[in-house]
Amino acid sequence: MIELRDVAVRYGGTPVVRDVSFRTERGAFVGLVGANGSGKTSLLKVIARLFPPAAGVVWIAGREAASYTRSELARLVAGVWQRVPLSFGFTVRQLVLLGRTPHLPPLRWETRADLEIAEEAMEETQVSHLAERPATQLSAGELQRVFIATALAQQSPILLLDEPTSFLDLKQAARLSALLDRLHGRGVTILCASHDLALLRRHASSVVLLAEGRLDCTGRPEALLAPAVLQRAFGIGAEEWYG
Amino acid sequence: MNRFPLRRAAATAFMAAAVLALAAAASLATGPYAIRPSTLVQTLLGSHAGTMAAQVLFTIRLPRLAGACIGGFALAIAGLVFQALLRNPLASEYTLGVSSGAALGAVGAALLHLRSPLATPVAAFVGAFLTIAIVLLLARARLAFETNAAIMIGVIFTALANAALSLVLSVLSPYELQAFFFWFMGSFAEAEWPTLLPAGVVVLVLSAVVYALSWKLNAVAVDEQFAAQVGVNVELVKMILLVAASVLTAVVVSIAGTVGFVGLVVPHMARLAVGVDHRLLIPVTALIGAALCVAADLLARTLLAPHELPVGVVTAFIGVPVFVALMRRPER
Repeated sequence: MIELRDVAVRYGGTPVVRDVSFRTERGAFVGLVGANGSGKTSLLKVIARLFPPAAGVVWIAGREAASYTRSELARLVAGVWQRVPLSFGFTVRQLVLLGRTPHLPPLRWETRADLEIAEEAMEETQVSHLAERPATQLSAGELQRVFIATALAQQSPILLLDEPTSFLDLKQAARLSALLDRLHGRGVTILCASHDLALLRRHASSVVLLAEGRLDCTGRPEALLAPAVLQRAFGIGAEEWYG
Repeated sequence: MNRFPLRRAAATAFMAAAVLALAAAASLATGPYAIRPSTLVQTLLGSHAGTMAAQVLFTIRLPRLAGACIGGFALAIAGLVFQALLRNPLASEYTLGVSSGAALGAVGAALLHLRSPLATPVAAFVGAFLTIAIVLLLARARLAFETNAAIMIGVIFTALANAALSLVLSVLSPYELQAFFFWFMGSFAEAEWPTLLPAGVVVLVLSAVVYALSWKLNAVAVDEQFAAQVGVNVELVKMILLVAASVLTAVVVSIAGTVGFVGLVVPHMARLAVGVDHRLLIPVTALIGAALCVAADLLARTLLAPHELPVGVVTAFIGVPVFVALMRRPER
């Protein structure tokens, strides 16, 4: 479903990701793990084509990602990113409905079906009661759930998650975990960058470990807890990890 | 059902249209040569041809009214576009220096004695577009706080452009000075049909283009990365809208000089009434902008009659307190 071949990312000439290659199958749940600054978010953004790779190629659903139009790609790949700054008072419902953008024909307003899809997405993420609230008035955790709802409303078969539990309390993190179970059950391919090793251990069929912008290893989530891996990727001993 | 506030938008548009109609009627009837309402209607319907009333209406007041309508309509839409693209409520063609850049271009064309009827609007567009391009490029070089940097650079550029205009004005003869003065503070007194008709067509076409992109503009107004994620070709949409907003500004500057605060204040008034959906905001903003400019022009002509104020002075006196009041209220 997703394949990266020798992908490199640079910010203003500084390399942040080098020669990363891996592939994920349709319906897989893949964790992307690494220390801060190891290149997880950059890699997700290259897959979503939010910026181009400095080298290498990304393939999605059998075609080069660069060959899709923006709308085509958005119908295939949805994403939830950290820290979206908001300037204007879009309501929660309006933000979630924007997830329907790639499905709308030119100059056509949302249909009843689009509105129902947005309602379902808000119910799945427990933000229905916030529907008419300006998103600028929400807490970081509530906003995180709204953007997850927007991604769900996109109904794309691939979901990219960048630290999805970072602003969530324990109850909401547990609900997100249940939602990920349901999405996985529906056959959605999920690529999730996270420091939440418990979440990945619960859901991921495999993990990709990045260290200093390079692919360190891939394998089962449990393999991450091997003392040698913890030391190499995060610079801590097994006895220092509290998980 | 669709929860977007369609009814509120329709009610606001109706009220703005009513204010526009009232201000337009008062504008046509009021002046050194007063025209009674019945005579006004009959003259507009074709009676009284060749009379003084017809002469005053068709050669002086109607073109001026059309200029104010076109000006307010275009400036309000341009301001809305700049605010949405930069995701900054302080953005407008005025604060970004685009109006001053356009005025500088137009004055340059006049100083070079370019005679073509297209020379002034084209020079104004070149000035407007170069300004927004320079402001955004300099802002991008700062990377962080790009949108705030754009406003700061725009304000500084406005000061520079105004200094350049002052320099030009200071070396002109009193006769030439009169002709150039209105580039500074704006006036619809010089509006004439030969320039208004193409200006109106350009404004209508560009407004339609902006409206067609309002679906995408909603996503861009949230966040550019978010917009790309939901399928918007952000760079293309931004480029088209920046050119459209710059041309809209240049058209107004070429017929009326710099008229400040319309593009800054009107989008906030419209947002307060109808929310942030640009599919509703654009028509409502345009109508409020037209109503504001027609009312401001009426006040400019009548407040200190027989003296006439620059319309930019009136829009500033209306715009600043309204802006302060709006900023103190929570936005929908």
